[in-house]
Amino acid sequence: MRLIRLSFLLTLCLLPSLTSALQVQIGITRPFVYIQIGNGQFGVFGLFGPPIGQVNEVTFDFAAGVLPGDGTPIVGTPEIPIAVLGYRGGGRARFTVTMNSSVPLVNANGDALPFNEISWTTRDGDIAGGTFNQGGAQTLFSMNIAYPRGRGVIDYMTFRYANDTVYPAGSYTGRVVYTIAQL
Amino acid sequence: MKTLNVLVLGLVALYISPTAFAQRVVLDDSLSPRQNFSLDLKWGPRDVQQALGALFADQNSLLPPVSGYLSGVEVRLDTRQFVGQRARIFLLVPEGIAGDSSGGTLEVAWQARGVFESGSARPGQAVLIFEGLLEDSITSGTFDFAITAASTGVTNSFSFELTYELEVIN
Repeated sequence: MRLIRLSFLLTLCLLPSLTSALQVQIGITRPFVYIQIGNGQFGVFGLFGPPIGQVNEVTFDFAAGVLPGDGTPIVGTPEIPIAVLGYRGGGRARFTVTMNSSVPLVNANGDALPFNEISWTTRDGDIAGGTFNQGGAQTLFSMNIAYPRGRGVIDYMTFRYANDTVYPAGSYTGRVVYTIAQL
Repeated sequence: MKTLNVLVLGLVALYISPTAFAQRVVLDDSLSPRQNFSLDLKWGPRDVQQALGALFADQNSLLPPVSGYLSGVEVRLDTRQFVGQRARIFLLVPEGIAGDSSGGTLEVAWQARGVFESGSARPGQAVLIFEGLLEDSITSGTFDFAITAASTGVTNSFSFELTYELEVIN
């Protein structure tokens, strides 16, 4: 027994110093969120998308035989993709997309056409359909990322003009601004 | 009891003469200028572009991994007791990292400068970074580490250690 103890002590003394090592602390402190409405050309314009004048435009053309205000919905073209990417970090995991449609469409004479005349449906149903409410922060979509950490959603919106009211003649244009925020 | 005596003496012999056995020993890297690092795993602009491409292709499963980078990590290994010997040095990513929530997707890759070789390893893997004659008491080099994991993983913070193991070539 004495030999065993002596040998064990000798072994401990002769062991090289086992100091280690490079320590890496992995954190998930930063959330990330990104939204792309339309064909943002990320590779060209980066995180902030295309400049004004190069955003996607939906056009509503009256087909032959359809009269303004006759109640026949006008389907806009093209279909617009909406892509949402996000992952949680630092305990922040809820992301919400809102729309600002508070500024109406106008024609060359300054006549206004409110955005609540326009609604949308989606191809996949990942994002619900609805109608613009002319508000500054209408919620389009929310996602709460618990697990898995990262998530991506894409859907395609088709817009419709209700065409149930007669407005002064002209070509009306307007802009809806989409914002994604982490809450 | 006699068997135990032989076993203990055998261990003594192992550490007295490492060259007698192809046994790996953990190298002391305490001379390295810095040993503790923190990083966040995230997407860079290229990853976002790739993620959008995956989404538009309806390939949600192809979302790119999240990454973190440690650049210019100088490593100094104490090799004084092996000077003049041929040896292999391995970089080891430990297995069974406590708290690793990456779902087995964690990977450590490195670009090396100096005497070390570039490579990559997953938990539980030891990858050769040096093979040859040890000429100096301190064997050093610089690494640029890239640590990645699936974007769907890493739901909590965790830490791990990279260790360096030496094996004398007989």
